[in-house]
Amino acid sequence: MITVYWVYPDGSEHKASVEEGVNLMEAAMANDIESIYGECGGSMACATCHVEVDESCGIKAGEPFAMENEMLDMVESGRTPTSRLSCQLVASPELDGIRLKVAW
Amino acid sequence: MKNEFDVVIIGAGHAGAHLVNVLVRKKYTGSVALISDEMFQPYHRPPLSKEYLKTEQVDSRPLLTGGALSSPNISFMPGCRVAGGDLQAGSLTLTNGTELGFKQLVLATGASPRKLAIEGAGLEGIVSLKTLADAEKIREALFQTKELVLVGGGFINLELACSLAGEGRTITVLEQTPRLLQRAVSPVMSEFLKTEAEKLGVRILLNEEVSRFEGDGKRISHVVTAAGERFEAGLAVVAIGSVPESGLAEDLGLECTNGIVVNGQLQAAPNVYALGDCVFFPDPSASHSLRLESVQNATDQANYVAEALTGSAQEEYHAIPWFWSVQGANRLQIAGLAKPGTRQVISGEPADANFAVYHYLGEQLCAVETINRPGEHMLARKMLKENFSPTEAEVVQGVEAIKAALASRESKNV
Repeated sequence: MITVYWVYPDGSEHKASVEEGVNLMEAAMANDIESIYGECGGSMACATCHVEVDESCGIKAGEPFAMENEMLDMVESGRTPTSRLSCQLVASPELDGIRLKVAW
Repeated sequence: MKNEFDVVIIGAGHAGAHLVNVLVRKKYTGSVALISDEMFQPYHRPPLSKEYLKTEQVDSRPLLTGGALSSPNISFMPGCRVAGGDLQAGSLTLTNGTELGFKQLVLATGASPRKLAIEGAGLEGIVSLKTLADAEKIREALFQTKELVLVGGGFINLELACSLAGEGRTITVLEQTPRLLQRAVSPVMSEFLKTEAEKLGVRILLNEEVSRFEGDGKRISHVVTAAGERFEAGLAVVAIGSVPESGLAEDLGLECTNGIVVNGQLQAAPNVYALGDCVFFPDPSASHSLRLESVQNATDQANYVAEALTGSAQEEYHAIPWFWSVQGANRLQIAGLAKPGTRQVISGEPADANFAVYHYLGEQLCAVETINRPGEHMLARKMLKENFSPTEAEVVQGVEAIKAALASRESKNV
């Protein structure tokens, strides 16, 4: 289990324990994180699971994959340098404590 | 005793389940019953023709959020079917005899695979793919046979063919028309998808009508075409389109024509909504109604009905249709609806497995198909939403030229 924090635009923090191997879109759905819908089930078709990694927590998620990168250029909430689609982030020990800002 | 609910949703596919998710997210406090004729928690259906069959892992992907599963005002009722009801009285009777009362009713009954009514259709080993139980049947059959015949060259069978290719299997797709996905994609795309499936070792035969199934009296052994050819088959998957599940709606006295007829607010009658694959709804951009079978349609209509149920006044339902299909390593995405008779402009090379097909009616962009260009697909959705049609020159120049043209128009409109 790792700990994941989601941060809303008002600064409020929502924390959950996530089993390793589970992607962070599914984790967000299981924990009812606002604005994350994962409509396509993680098929990288909908871009409704966009998050911004808050690197001030000291944890980086790495670069997006090629197709994800293309999608991120077009997300409605606007891309930032640390934008990722959370369906492509899989819970692993390296991501323990990661902070994800959600936008809407 | 009668169980009273504010909202009863019949059907727990993408439309019904997403509606519950959105109601929970909106902090809806009314009582909601979600009725499913399956025994499972609602799950994502697209993986069933793809990774679900490829992996050892048998977990399905849940559709309901944690909150939807745990909210005390949401009653999930698995393994239930509605036998009938009375819209005026606001009551339903389940096949197990349970009576339910509702203030608002939502029909999300979906669509079911069209059946092939030919000789031998009742043999074991002939399946269609809609539910987790169907996918399980296919998975079990794969342990017993390497001879697969897929009847129908549409999305489901092409996805299946590409997912299951290899491992010593013989996979044959029999399509009745002269090309694959004839009603859904351009000829260029049909040809590309055929070539790509063939590269994986899938045999695709066009203009082949299936006339009967043969077996040993119990299990299928061959699929026989009208031309008299016999194909060995330990498993036959029939995927020749879907028909809307509108029987219950008809019994309730609702109008049905190619699905449940609704108005621009997705209402079939006062306090009765219908959404998803089972709905024949007005297309605001045209003078006719249409029925769409897609996750996007289910989800967007569920979003709309959630707004309606929680009391927000709204304009008529309008959304840009989009689809996706993953076939082997290729990701096909379609934004908009490619109508017959469009002029097509191609950007990129099919041979590179990286291209787009733009469909125009006159000068108006109406649909864009992309292969392995998810960014351009998102851009296409934006263009269609903003009613922007790039020129042919811009399309051929590529995404940056289109974005520039779109931005220039946006700045003029401010």
